[in-house]
Amino acid sequence: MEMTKKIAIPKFQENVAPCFESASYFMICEADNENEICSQIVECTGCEGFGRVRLLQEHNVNVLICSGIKGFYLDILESSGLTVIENVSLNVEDALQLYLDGKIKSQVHSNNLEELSCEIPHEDLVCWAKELFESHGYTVSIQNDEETPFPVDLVAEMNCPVCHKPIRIAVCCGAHTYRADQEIREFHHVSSSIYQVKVYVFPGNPLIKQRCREYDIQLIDTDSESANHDQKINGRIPLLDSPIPGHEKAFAGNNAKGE
Amino acid sequence: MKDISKKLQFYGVILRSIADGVFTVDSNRVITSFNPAAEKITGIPASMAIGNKCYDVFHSDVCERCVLEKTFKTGIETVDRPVNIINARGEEIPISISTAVLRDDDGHVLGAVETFRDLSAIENLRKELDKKYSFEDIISKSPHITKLFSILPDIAESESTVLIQGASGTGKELFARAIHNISPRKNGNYVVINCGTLPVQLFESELFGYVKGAFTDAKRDKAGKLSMAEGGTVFFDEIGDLPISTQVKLLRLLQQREYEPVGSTTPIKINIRILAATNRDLKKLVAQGKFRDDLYFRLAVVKFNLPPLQKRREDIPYLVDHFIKRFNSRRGKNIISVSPTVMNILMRYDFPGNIRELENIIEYGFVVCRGSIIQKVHLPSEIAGADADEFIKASSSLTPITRTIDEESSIKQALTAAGGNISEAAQELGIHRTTLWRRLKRYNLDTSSFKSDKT
Repeated sequence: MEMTKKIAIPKFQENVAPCFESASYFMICEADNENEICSQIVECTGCEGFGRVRLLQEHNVNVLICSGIKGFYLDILESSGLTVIENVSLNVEDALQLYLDGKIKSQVHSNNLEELSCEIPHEDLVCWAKELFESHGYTVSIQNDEETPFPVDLVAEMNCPVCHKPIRIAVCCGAHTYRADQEIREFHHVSSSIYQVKVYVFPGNPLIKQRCREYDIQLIDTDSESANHDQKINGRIPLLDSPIPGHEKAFAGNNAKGE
Repeated sequence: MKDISKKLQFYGVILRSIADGVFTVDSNRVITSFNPAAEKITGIPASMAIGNKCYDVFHSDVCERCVLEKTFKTGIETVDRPVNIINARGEEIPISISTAVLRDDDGHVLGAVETFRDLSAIENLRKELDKKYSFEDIISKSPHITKLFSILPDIAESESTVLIQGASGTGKELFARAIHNISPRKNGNYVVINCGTLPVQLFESELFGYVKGAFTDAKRDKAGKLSMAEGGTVFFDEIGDLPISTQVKLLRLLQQREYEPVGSTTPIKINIRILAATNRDLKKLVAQGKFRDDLYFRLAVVKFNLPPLQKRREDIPYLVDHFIKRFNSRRGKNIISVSPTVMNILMRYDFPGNIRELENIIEYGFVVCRGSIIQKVHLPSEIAGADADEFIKASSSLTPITRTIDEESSIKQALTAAGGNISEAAQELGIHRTTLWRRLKRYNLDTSSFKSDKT
């Protein structure tokens, strides 16, 4: 038996509207497993989100594909059984087709606290990271004076093997707060003119890896076997896996994390 | 040429150091630069913003009537226009924006620049002053509350009397205010009457007012609190504390929407909506004969319960973040968050005082914390102490010295069994290898001395 479902997409011109709460038009279509059966455009005036929630409920919508949506309305819709696929910035027809083809799906929200926290005490991470950098030839200093901006815990230094200029690495060991994403964001804003590289030390998971990538911060994953104190140093600038601006030559043939 | 590159360098430093968000777009509204303040306000890193259309980053309520596009078309600059955007965490951020067109030396349009200022702190303070809370200001991810959110607008739109039940500190007043603020009566007054604080003798005269000569000191007519609510909403807080003798007076108000000032025989008609709240079980009070059943049924036309915080623990992290934001703007501090230990303690604490108690705990933390993160030492002693007691109960009865000796020998055993492999030994001990590493330093143990044992 084929299941039909109703899909709603807030529409602005031919694209998915940027904001669910202020969208004036919704395309509501009925589809079986893969094919669109029929669709209609529904107008929604007024300037608040509840009107839109009500509209979706009145039309018995099962899936909402949208771009921006306030967490408040997302929670309401999800608690009433709707599937919400957010951050879709496409042409409405393309968005619908991609959904019907199974190419866009509802994602786990990035506020998943389990993925953003760790059980390891912060002091353990600092001790472990200090030893790790030292065992790879860095001179490491602990930043514990009050003037040091949160969240730099360690500064690891070594001279570039090519130009012999000093390379300073700011190291933030996680678990200062209960949310790694907050720490990564704050760490990102630490002055780039003082440090050439920023390294975050934390048990890696896809979300943490993604956040570090987004903010151009290198992650040393405490769960990775390659982050090992006993490993031989093969790279010329060990432990770093992407080139430092101005020191690219030193990275030629650099084998990340001593692998 | 050198001058130009120097200038550009300076501009770069200026843009990186200012607290206002600044971004530029090309003529297709694709973002070409995004400064650190813009990253902070939106929660979106420059690496993700650059190359995207501005409306896919800001999700603003005015994106469909784009201010930048208008500036492009007309050349007219926008200055300090208030709009709302949605940040990466799905929160609404009020900002004020200014726009200008960027042209080359020949006057050709290259793109546009928008600067924006975060108005959250000002807006939060204004909300606190005006008490213009809406449901969106109520922090909850609890399924029970989010289900309530989906029906509350309908309740607000109706004229029905609402009874909110819940323990002290669960946010009953906030819900009542939010109902009023989105109801058709939102432009009318919202009058709070605390039934628990008014003495029986004064209740009637305070509520209904009195006429000259009604009693010895009644030298002239005085309007009661109810009259202030004409066209608006009256919220009877702690209605369960209302003495039975005064309940009958309220019953008539609920039934007929009319009352008589003390000393008068002329009834006054009034147009009000009634909301009530209590932390007591009114049904039980009715059964005990302490609350009139007819009043109860008049009040409980629409009734909902707010669960205590210990039954919606999933809200604790969100409430903590909310209070940190609030106290940062109130006290001009820059506290980032709480430590994982503090969050652990809060997640296990029972909160007999509910959300109000959590708010007080965070406020206490703000008073004593001088750094950026609220640590366990910044918690009130009864909260931090309670956790320590729990911890001691949970651990073995061994003295600290015995535990240390035990720990060292356990580590040695695990390392021997694992042939000196730290990861394997840590797994065996049920701790993370970074923690084992620190213990090895503490006991001065060298993993290499265990390596031969396995082979």
